Amino acid sequence: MLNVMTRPPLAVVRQFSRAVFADRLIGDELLRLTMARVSIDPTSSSSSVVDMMSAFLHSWRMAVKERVANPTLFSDAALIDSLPVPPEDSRLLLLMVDALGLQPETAAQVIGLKRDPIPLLHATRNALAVETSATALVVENEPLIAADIRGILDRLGVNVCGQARTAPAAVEKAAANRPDIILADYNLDGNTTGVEAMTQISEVHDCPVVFITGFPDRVLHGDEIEPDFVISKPYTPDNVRAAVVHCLDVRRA
Amino acid sequence: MAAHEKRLSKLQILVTDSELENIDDWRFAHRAENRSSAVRELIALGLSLTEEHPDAAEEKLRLIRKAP
Repeated sequence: MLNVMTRPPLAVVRQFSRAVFADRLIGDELLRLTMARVSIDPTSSSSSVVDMMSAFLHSWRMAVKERVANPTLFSDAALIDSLPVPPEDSRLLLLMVDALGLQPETAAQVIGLKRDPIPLLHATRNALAVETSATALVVENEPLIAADIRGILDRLGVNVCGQARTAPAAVEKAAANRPDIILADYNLDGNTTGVEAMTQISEVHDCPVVFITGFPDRVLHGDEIEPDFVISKPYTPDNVRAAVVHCLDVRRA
Repeated sequence: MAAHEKRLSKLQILVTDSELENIDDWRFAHRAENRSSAVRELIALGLSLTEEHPDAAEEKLRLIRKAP
């Protein structure tokens, strides 16, 4: 996985915020609301990934704690009032390490974890499980990578209900099979048709999309058409498992 | 006659349950066809009021932004 500490901090926090909800709209709104509460300038290049992640999580925790009663409708306070609390520490740790690529010690520092993160991380990874009926669509034009992802999903107990190598095939299979989750390569055929395919799919079928990309920051600008969940290449089976189980958990909740 | 718009976009926004209820109340009170048309009409109202009464609109916006 790409070294997360050298990536633009704001893109990393955006990736995390979206990943927590497996939803880009909710994630981006949470990021806006939390960053409005801290004095840190999210566009400043002097803030580190750890600073930004810590500010984000702290601000989220405080926002939830300082909720007002009966907030004014359509105000930011109303959105904050409806925000869920952050996931428990073990899930935060899993997402920070396996979805973002933070070192366990760094993640523990951001979370404010007092205990050794390694045993907790291993226990959390080992406890990952999915419902037996979960289905996935794999969109990948590289046969070896597609087979690898398929293998990881099989071992996790996720039923791969379709595989596509091109954008039109992906749209067709998503509409026909209605998967619970889609894993997609960002660059189909060397261009961004992966994103275009997902935009079309979102019109016919609503499910979380996990993008697997060598260039996470290119897909995390904060513009309109963007993925819910990003993991960067080269990935490990742990990265894929964390992404899939978390997305399925969030959408089922 | 103006050229036809080339395409449509779906605009997604985040609202709380009570806000949605509020929008629906407005929709029924003003007999809007559906939720989408109600939101479109509310946007049109907001935009035209901003144009016709800029100072009042600015003041209202300021209150919304700092509302508890």
